[in-house]
Amino acid sequence: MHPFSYTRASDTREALNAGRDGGRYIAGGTTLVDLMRETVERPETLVDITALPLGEITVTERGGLRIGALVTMSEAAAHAKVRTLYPVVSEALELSASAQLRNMATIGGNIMQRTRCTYFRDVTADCNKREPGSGCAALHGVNRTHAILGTSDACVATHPSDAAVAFAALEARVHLLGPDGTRQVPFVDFLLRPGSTPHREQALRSGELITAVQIPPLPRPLRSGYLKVRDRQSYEFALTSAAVALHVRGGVIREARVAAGGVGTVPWKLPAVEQHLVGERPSGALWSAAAAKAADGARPLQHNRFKVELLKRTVERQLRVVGGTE
Amino acid sequence: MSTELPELAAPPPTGAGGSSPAPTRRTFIATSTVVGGAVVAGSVVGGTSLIGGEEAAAAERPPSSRVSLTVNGTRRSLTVDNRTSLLDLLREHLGLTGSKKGCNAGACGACTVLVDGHRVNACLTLAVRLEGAEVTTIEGLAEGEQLHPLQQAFIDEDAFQCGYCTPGQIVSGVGCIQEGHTGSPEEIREWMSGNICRCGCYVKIVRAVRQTAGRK
Amino acid sequence: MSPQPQAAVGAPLSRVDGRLKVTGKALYAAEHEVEGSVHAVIVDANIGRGRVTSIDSAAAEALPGVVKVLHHRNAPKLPYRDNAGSNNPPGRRLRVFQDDRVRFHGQPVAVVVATTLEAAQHGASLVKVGYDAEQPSTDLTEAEPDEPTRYARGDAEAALRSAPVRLDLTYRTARNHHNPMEPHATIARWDGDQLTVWDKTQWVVGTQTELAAVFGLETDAVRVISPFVGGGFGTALRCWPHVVVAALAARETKRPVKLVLSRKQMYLGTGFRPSYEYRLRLGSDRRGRLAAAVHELDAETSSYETFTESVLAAGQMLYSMPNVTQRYRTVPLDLPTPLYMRGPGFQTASFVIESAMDELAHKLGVDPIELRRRNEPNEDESSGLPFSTRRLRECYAVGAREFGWDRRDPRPRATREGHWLIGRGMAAGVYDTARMPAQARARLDADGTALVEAAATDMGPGTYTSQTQVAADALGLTVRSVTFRLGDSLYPPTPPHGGSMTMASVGSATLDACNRVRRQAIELAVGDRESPLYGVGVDDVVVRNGRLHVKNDPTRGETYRRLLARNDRTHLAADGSFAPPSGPERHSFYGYNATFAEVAVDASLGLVRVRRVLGVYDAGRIISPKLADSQALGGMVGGIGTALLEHTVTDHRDGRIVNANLADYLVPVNADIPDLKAIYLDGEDREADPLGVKGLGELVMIGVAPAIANAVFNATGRRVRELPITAEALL
Repeated sequence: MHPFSYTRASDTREALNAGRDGGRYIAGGTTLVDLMRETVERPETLVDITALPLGEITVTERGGLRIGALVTMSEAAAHAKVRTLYPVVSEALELSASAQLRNMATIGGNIMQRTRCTYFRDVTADCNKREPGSGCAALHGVNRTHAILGTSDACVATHPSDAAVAFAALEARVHLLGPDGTRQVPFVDFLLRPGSTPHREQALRSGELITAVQIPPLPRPLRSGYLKVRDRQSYEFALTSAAVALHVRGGVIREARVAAGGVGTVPWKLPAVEQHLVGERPSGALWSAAAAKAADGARPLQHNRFKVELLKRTVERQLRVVGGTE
Repeated sequence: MSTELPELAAPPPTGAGGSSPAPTRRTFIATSTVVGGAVVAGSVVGGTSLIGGEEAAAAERPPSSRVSLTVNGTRRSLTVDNRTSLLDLLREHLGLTGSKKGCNAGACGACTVLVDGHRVNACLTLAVRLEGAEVTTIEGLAEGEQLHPLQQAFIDEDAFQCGYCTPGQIVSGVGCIQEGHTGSPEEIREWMSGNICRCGCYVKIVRAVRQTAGRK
Repeated sequence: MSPQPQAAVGAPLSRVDGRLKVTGKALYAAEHEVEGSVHAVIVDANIGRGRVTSIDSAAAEALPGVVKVLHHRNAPKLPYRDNAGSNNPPGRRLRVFQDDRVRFHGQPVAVVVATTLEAAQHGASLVKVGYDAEQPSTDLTEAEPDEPTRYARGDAEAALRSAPVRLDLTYRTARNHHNPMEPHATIARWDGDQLTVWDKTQWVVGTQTELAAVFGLETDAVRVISPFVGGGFGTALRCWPHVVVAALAARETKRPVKLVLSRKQMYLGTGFRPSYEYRLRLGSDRRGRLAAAVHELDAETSSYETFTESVLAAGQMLYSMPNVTQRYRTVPLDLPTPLYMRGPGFQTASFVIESAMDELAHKLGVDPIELRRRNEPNEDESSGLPFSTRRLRECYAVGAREFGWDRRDPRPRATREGHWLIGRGMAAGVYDTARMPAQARARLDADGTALVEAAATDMGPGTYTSQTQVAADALGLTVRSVTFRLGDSLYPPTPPHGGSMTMASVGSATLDACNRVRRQAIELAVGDRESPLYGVGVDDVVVRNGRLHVKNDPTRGETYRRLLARNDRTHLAADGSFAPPSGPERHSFYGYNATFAEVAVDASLGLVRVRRVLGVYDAGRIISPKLADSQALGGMVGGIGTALLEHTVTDHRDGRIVNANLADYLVPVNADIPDLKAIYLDGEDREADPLGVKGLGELVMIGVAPAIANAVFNATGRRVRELPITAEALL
């Protein structure tokens, strides 16, 4: 680990000042410290933001939720409102990492999580995300766990977060605070596809701080849930996953929110699946037909071809589970 | 049915001949600042530097910070290299080697300790960030000779073999019980999955946690 | 002497070292306090093959706290005397910092020594190494094999041609890494020419011998201490290069050096179970009586050493058949050298043979257990020797009953629960009963307590406890009164703590030493006019709870304490030993099991979940039932990992291992493990060794992977011939 200086920010103003001066914010630290130890990350200054007042979960008007950036994953998952209003969020959180890591990691840090691509994590390998212009070792390397959607020739790394898949599905907004004030960014615009600049991962401006993730209200009753498919039954990143939320009234699907994880360079919103569902009556045939569109546009690699089929089946399964017509 | 033996009558050897040639506690331990506990508060003003040996001239020392934290009820005030993890602080500087380093990357749970009552991975926790924190390690669970019920349950159920993941399992189990994730064997399995046991003692770990939770 | 009552042996005792382990006080290799220790961190090569052309250590050396950077340009030449022992396979072992060659990705090329761990780690990341890289060869199926090892009886090819039923099957098994939870670690200290190392090792004697050979020392000049080992599974059976690095760094810096491998480095040269490609052709009659088997297998080894393991024995003796041909080739690759991993050889062979037997059973429509019964041999057909014990039929019977085998529907995909397909499978397992010469010493003190010592290891099975049990009964003491010490090369030598031979070998030496001490005490008593036992025949005295008495008259006797005190003896002591009978074996010695597994397979998502596993073992006498149960369950967990999760993956472009960590190399976690059950058949093997044991640690893992693979077939109708079985094979 390279040496770094360390400061504790006691309020947002102090944090922003330190951030403006090039400081790197640290909250739970579970990704950052790990990557610093691998020398993938080499910040000169760490700005500890845990003292900032960003640890609240509040119900917004009409039943949306605002989750403070410093709420830990375990706090968010256990929160009564999260559990009752958006089970898909608490399930995604509880299927992530381990109890210990969830006690440390925060919501803000979780969506900032960096990829688990083995070549990214190994500083002796070529990686455009880590070392722009060095090449992508994964493209023709060992890529079983890599992305099939949203990839480019420069990068095929998956975004590892489960919670971000739920947030993407629910069309959450990321609240940001920067030197120029506050702003909100839709989740789909917050995490960036690699394109030719895979080292740019978030739509964050210099020194900007995530203050909260806000889930917009959705009509009730809303049924939602998260399915994570992996080799091991726990403590593993997803091969594929699906976040599904459905609002069914009068026997007809009025609203559908669907996103997939483990398959995209960013959490993969599935508008074609959603559109196929809205206005239809739940049925096994509907789920199959909708899920058949889940892998549209997929570009599989040598070792992850199976993800194309697995993704469709994962989405179909979770539509059945949430839709209740299994 | 089973008989528990109090303790290995003589500890295994760590040095030559009958008497150990291994030194006593590392020298800096003797000088580390202990405030509260059995030591009179305020008896030592300065902290102890744990950053670099005698070769490192003060001016060249890596960035370091002062931090005061409580470990197993003993308050300690230290100057640490900013890079030092809580796990390395415990193992390399405080002589508390019960917390284990299995992967140093948050992927095995052998380093699990309680920080302010929550189970966390000490390997991913920078010590410098623990200002005012209360840390409990495996060494802090027993009350004198009286083992924590989960420690006793691990012995009774034979919930370990090599013993290396065991401190992390036990501390994690204490956390799991406090959190209330012990409603069924399935729930315990999931919530204890952050602690890998390569000897494969999971069935008995679940029994030990369940039994202890049930006693509460 | 009269046989001693057995009070401790066979009793379900808790571990004698349990309290140390649950309180965090058991000291593992890196945890010993050695005054003045500095830290060493190894720099790994990041090419797969080639030469080091430059090393720039200036930036590292400029760091505060860095004491030294050692590499092949500045390291002294080391004697590296030949040492055919210490589990060094044939070949030329890797010599640290002795030349510029890079033989595999991750080979140590330098070491940074610093006063703090942080400085050493940072320094290691700053050492710039230049290379002349060559294309490495790391793919088993692409490289040129060595000359084969062969075995033949009868004419298997001819018999195969005329067999009414034939199978031709090719299986592949993944490379597996041991991954004990404790990483390898060494603390090395020189006192003049005397070297002491605190090391993670399964064989203090082997490490001692190797370090003496490498540094050109007398064996006695090296002392190896290893009281607790945080798991081994085979990885610590050799003295790997990092141990030499630690000792070398200590000598060059004149400071004690502590070197702990990172988890990643645990994949870079501390052994592994090699990957195999294994073709098996079977021929049988229509009732399933085997006529012939042709085994053709290729396995990974390194470019510089030829590692082989017992992968042929099972194919020669597990089932009766007149014709067997085997061809076993190692394939030298630009990899580090493999090493025995739990159930070495047999584990791989068992997966192949037992999967194939299941395929044959299915093809013939014969119950898998019945097929095995029909091929049960009456003697070891590879040697013509009688089996010491072989109770496989009993294992099948007990297992079938306990598991509810008769409720299994033999038709694939026939049992469904929701979206889960349920399948049940079984396999037989076999592992040889190894014994090697061992020594121990015992001392009975005047206070009535005893100390027994041997240079053995306890990597988890419970050597401390089981040896204490043996000693306690042989001495007629309570377990509490006996202390067993191990893990120090100053103690009497023992064989490696591997191959499941510790109990048979060390245990028999412990038994011998303690029997000798007891005899001394009895002789002292019966010859002592003041003893109530005066004049009694030596063979008529037994000892119980520290009191000697006439076997048939417990009222007549006295305690060890009284006897020794009256005779002014501070202690009685004896050395004990064990050696297997010399000359050719008169029996064929193996342990056996029948393993049963039930799995649920998600029909659309391809996920396999193990629901239960049952193992039934013919393993001889069980010394410590509580610990033996743990060991069996642990073996099942290991087998589940091999079957479904474990796979070390290499990028053949540059020889890099891409999943060298515990987040990507998957081992089972708690949620993967259902209820497991182990049953040991009562009994003992009187031919094998004085204790009647056959060894457990390896046997309990063998059979699990094929039982699971067979259950997956029963569930899905998919025959997966490649381990691990993952979603892509089942979609």
